[in-house]
Amino acid sequence: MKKRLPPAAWILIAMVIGIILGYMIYTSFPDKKSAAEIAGYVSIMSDVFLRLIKMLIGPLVFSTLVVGIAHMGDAKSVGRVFGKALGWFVTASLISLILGLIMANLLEPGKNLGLPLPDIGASANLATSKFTLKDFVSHMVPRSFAEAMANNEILQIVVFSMFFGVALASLGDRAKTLVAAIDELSHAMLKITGYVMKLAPLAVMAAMAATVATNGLEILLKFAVFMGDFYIGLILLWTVLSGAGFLFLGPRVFKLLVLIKEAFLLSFATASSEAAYPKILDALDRFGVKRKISSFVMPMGYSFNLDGSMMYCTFAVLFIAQAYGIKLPIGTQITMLLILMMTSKGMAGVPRASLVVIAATLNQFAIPEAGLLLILGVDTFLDMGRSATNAVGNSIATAVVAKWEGELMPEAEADAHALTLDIVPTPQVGHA
Amino acid sequence: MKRLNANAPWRRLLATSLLVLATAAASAQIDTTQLTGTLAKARETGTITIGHRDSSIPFSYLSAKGEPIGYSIDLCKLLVDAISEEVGRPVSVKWQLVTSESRIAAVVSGQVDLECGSTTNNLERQKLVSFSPTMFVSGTKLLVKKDSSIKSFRDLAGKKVVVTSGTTNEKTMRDLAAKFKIDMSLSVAPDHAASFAMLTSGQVDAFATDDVLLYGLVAQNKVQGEYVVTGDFLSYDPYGVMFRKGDATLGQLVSDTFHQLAQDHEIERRYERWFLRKLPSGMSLDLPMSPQLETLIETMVSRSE
Repeated sequence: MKKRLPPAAWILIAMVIGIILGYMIYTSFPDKKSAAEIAGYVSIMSDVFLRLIKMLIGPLVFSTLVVGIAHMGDAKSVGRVFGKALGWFVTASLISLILGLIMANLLEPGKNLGLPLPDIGASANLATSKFTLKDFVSHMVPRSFAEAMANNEILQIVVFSMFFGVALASLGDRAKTLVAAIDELSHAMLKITGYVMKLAPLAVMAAMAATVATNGLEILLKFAVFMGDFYIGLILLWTVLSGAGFLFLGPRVFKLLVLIKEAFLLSFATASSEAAYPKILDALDRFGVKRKISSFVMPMGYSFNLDGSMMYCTFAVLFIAQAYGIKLPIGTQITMLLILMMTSKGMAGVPRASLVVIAATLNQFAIPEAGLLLILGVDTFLDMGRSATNAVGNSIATAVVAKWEGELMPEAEADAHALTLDIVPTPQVGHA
Repeated sequence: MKRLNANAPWRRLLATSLLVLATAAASAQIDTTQLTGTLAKARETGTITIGHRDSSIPFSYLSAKGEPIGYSIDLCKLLVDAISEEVGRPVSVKWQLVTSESRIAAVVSGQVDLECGSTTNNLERQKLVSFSPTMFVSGTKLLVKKDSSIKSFRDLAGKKVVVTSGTTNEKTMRDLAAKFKIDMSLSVAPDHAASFAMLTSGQVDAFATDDVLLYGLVAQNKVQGEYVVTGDFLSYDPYGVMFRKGDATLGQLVSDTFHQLAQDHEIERRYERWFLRKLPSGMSLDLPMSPQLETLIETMVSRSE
């Protein structure tokens, strides 16, 4: 079946249809119960899609990463890539947090807020104790590979796969069959990904329709200033990240942005950066990033490089402080930023974790936690922007590390390679 | 090694299993002796006292048979299940009626172990008691006629609004009018039924009180479709289960149990049961989950450890 429209266009069309459909449901069922019920049925499609992604992401990360590391050769180069990736992640996180801080100070979204504020004494009671550095570090190491796979703990899978890959590499010829078998597994997983992705436009449509049907669009107007300012911040963040990418990749960075548009739309509509993982992996293949880099840097980025979520942390904390008329001196803001640098590392793979981090920060700086109640109501729409931004940040990070390591194919070679991905049903994985 | 009767190898097996059992029992014993506070009390007495309300529909009220039922009661029964698992013995529930005036003192004095009603979690109360994670977000909203032009609090300029005397909603509306300089005329009725009557008779344009009460009044009077609850929250009241302050082991257990319930979609199911389906009385509130609560529950669905 040959479609003339590119997949990204399909997703965009699906998104628009989803919004229209959702709004029709919202307006034709004034009683919220029926609208919510219908939205529940509509979202079956997107739920199924997200479950399918969860189903394949563990084996996909494992197989691509083990093969990637086995081909990287030795623990030393693994360590080097890890170091470079971490260096980029820390820088990008810092930039995101600072940008959130600057934007909130410049735009002052919380000042003169035309909305009733939750009583200063109310408590949303989000469990904040779960995020400590100690827990995070010990949680990173799996106590069982099966458990890590069963719970889709990406970071734990990464840790195990690193050991496994390095061991296979050091065994050399003796582990040849196992490496080949896992390589075949990765092809199988990619094939499954291909099937699942066929559902993407439907899932996007369902997700958009369900979101709009339950929340309506008026809420966007009520929170127009807050959301508008946050999205302006996000756009600026994309520009800054692309600019940083430009320093390393040159004008090729624009090509990367074009390649990830599908993944971007997908994570936006489903508000899940995980959903975009396989698509970004594919986009990076086409861009010429060798799989041994992308399969390693990407899953790590999902824990350490959540740029959109990071920016939201500083932005939302300042928004709430402004809404309650609390002035935070710049020194306090910088302290807050440094603390967030640490605490936000626990956000990995936990849905809406930025809210929990924000709750902890509010308590720490004696800003009314009640303010959370204000932003909880619109979080769905903000989560979409955060997830999409995380996807952009991760693809740029991976491409930059690949370039830095000298593992980025020249443009012509990458284009030729991309063609083979389209023609050959089982792609020749580029560890060449 | 002792010489065992050769014709009975099963005896050896039995002896070993008994030994294993004994060890297990001993270690269980050690665990429970470390229990403190309410959990230790539950272990000793085999009971937990739940403070309930008599007419906080649908959170905590009495059924036709006089048994405490409701959304909060459901969640508390699940908490009691978790407690009984933790202390390693069946725990039965003792019921104790509390009122909005007596509930905090009842928890502080130890008269009740868990207060399962509709209690707003705020910082002032946190000085006296502890709260479970938020189980419901209530707040002031407006009830208007279906074809009313009032869609949000900003449309209230020049309109007549009724509030029930002595409620926090009265203060909310006065503050709102002052803060946003909305020129509304506020009247006060002695109770919710009177406020509602003022709206139905057309004396006022809107009735402002907690959204869950508004949905209840609409359902009770069978005027669904004629009146709508409109706009966003004008105030926010997050509800939680109260328990004694300083009981860290119970606090941890309550928090863990809520996370587990969120993970298993159990909170959603109970919500549906009490807010969207027919209540035992035959009416149905038809109040879908607020986006605030939905998001709060999502944050509780963290990774399983």
